[in-house]
Amino acid sequence: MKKQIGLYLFTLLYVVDIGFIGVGIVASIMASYRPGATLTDDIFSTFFWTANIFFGIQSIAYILNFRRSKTFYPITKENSLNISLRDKVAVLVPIYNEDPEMVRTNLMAILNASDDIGKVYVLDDSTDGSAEQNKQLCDRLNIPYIHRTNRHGYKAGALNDVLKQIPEEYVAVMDIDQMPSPDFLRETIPLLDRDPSLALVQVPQYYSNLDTGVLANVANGQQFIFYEILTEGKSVVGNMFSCGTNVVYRKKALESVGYFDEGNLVEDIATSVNMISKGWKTLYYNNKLVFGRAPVTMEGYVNQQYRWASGSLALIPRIFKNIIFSKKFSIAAKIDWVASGLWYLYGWFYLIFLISPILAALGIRVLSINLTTYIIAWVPYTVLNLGTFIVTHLDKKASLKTVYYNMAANVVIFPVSIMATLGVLFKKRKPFKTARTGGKLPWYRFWPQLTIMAGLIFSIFVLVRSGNWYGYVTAFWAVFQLLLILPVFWLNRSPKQSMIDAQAFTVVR
Amino acid sequence: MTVDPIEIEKVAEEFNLNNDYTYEKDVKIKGKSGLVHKFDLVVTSKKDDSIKIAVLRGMSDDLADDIMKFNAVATDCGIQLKALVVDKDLGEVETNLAQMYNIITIDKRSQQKSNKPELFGIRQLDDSVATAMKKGNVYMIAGKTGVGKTTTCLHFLVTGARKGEKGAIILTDTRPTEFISNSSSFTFGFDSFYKSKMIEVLELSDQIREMKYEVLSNKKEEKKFITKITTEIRKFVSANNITRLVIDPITPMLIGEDDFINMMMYSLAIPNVYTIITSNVRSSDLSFFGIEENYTSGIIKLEFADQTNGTRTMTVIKMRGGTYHTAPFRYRITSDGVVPAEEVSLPPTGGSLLKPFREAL
Repeated sequence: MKKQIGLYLFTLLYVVDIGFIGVGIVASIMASYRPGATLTDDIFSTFFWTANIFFGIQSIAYILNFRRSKTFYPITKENSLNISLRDKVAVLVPIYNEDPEMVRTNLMAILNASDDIGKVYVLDDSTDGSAEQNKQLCDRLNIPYIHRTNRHGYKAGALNDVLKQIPEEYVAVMDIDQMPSPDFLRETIPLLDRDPSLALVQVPQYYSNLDTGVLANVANGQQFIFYEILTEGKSVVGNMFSCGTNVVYRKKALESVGYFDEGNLVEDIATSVNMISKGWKTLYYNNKLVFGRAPVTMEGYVNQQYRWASGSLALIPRIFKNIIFSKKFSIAAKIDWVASGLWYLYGWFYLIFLISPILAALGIRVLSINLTTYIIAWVPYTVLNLGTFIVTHLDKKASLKTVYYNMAANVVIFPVSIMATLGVLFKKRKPFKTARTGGKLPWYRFWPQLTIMAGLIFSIFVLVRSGNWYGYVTAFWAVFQLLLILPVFWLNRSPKQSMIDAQAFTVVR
Repeated sequence: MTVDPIEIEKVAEEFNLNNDYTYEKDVKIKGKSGLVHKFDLVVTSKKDDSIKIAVLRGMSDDLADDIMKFNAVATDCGIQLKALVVDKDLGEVETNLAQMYNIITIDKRSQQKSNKPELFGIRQLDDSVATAMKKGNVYMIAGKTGVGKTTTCLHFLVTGARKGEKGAIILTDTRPTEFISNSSSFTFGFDSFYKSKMIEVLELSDQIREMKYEVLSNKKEEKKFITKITTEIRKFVSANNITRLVIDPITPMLIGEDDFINMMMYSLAIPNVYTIITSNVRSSDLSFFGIEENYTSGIIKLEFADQTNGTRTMTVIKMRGGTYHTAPFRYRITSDGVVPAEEVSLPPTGGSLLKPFREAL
């Protein structure tokens, strides 16, 4: 009962909060079309209120998902594998130019989870000479090994080539940087088996190398909101999409959409969209059954984020065509799809937020005409929005540090989103790289972040010296943003070894 | 010299090489001493070329002399696995020599491989359980400190190594140097198999102890711990072709929860590997946490029977998938390892000193 009241109270607050977003947008529009506004004022203000609409949609989707996750998401536990399922499960492990040592280790975890239950297939597209070692390993372990020399269709292509030839009904896909716990299949396959309308069951990607440094924690903070809040909500309405690994599919569902979508970098989401628009249901099973590793180098992290961003952005037209403009989906589901479909545009909108204090220092006011509207429009909004964001995270057992890292992560890597948008618009092709490649980045690569930091520091000085409340409040805003972009200095470091990769045994000689 | 193909087949069969082997007749191998030695036959596994068996064809009349010389040259060449192929019954001296030098005797005349499987090399125990015990399962040896759990496991590892089955023992609470010196003091040849890596000795790393500590203080990460530890075990076992695995004792790797122990035991069952875990007794009369026994395929319980003369008993409590003898087997621990209690007072065989041996492990 107490919990219910809390939830209602919280919803009310959030509605008020969203109301204030509206007020902010109005204030911003007013500012942009006030008498005497210059063209520069107009351009930036337009940009600014567009950003507010964007974050408004994200907030609504967030609250909807949080509510669903709190009220409707079932806490199920499944561990009742039927013996008859034993010959029906295939575990596909795609590999592309990976460290053979990691392949050896994680393949053992995959085998541990598959003994007596599933048949493991290794699909190797490696071009760097590691294929020979992988083949020897698989031969010794008696695992079917499929090596392609053309990378036709990339990961999706590799999966499809094998899918069409194997008899198993259920197909798990496991990236080689993941270590499934021994009961991964035993818990997930029965869920799929019980409900014939389910196309897939996804479990979280859980980062278990947080002891490597700040970067892994930042990446983890970013994952938290997705795997603990958004996904549970999405699952309730059947909007959950596959994340490409730690997932089990019904082969019939894949068949019905012509298998994995080979035309997109994020074949997992693309294929899910195809299946969902065909009427298949999806399920998110929030149990930490697979242990993965967060990117530990800045280059790897940027590669991963760039790939996710450009893949997702390229999907926008399809999401609109198949879901938003389709009559089969509810308004709530559509809001959710708009929010997740557009999410990777965030870089542009963080950019205008980041530079707004600098603009103010230069005399370009994007927020409002005067102090009164400014305070009415932005102070309650900021407090409410941040407050609810933090409270919902804490409610889901996140630490304050995780909340901070999540907010910081998006601010720090906003240029990746911008670059990915431009890349998609101008159809620039980047060679495929995984999150596990690369090392530290040269510092000049951080020029956007460093320039903004310099600008924010400059604006703080100017605004504080301005001697009016408009300036003070904006200066506070600048300090806040400076704190969010600051972790950039701790991210680009050499990682420490994680306990998950440490030796468990020493051989006595 | 012509070698009968039957002899090669029998050697390969005895050492479980299936059809995956190569052989050479009348091989000359240079030993560590610099001398070049000639062997009648050497059979090598294709899967793992460290599995190399030197074969002596027991043709001559002075077989005892040949066996001693054969053992010396094989040792010089660093060959651990030795077989003696004969077509007659061996005398007592020859039998003793073969046993002492860990030479497997193969009788050419017998139609099939001896149908008495050897797992522990302890006849009474093997008679009871060896046909029922299967690879891919987890078995438990339970008993109080000093009763002979580790010694029984050593028999199991050495018996395997003698036949070319590699073994590993994971020490979870013993200092390895202490373990190795104690194990080497037995007469059954542990040290030579250890030195030639037919038996590997492993120790839990500091990181994994730290990880367990974290799991204990933060219950969320239990599955991560099991995943990590069983993955590493499997990786080692697979990379080194190990088919006999001992974890001695299992307790430090466990957390006293039903789900945890269930999953750990389930994951320790590795295809093509016999896994034996040992457990001290505390909560139940079989184990430390009182639940380990529920998740194993078989249990052998060791107990002290008579403290005054060191007699103990070994009883099979449970053995899935086969018949076994329920009568306890009375034994003592001597420098020969586990020895039937009634044989201890008899004149010694194999010339070893049979002083009661207080196991300190």
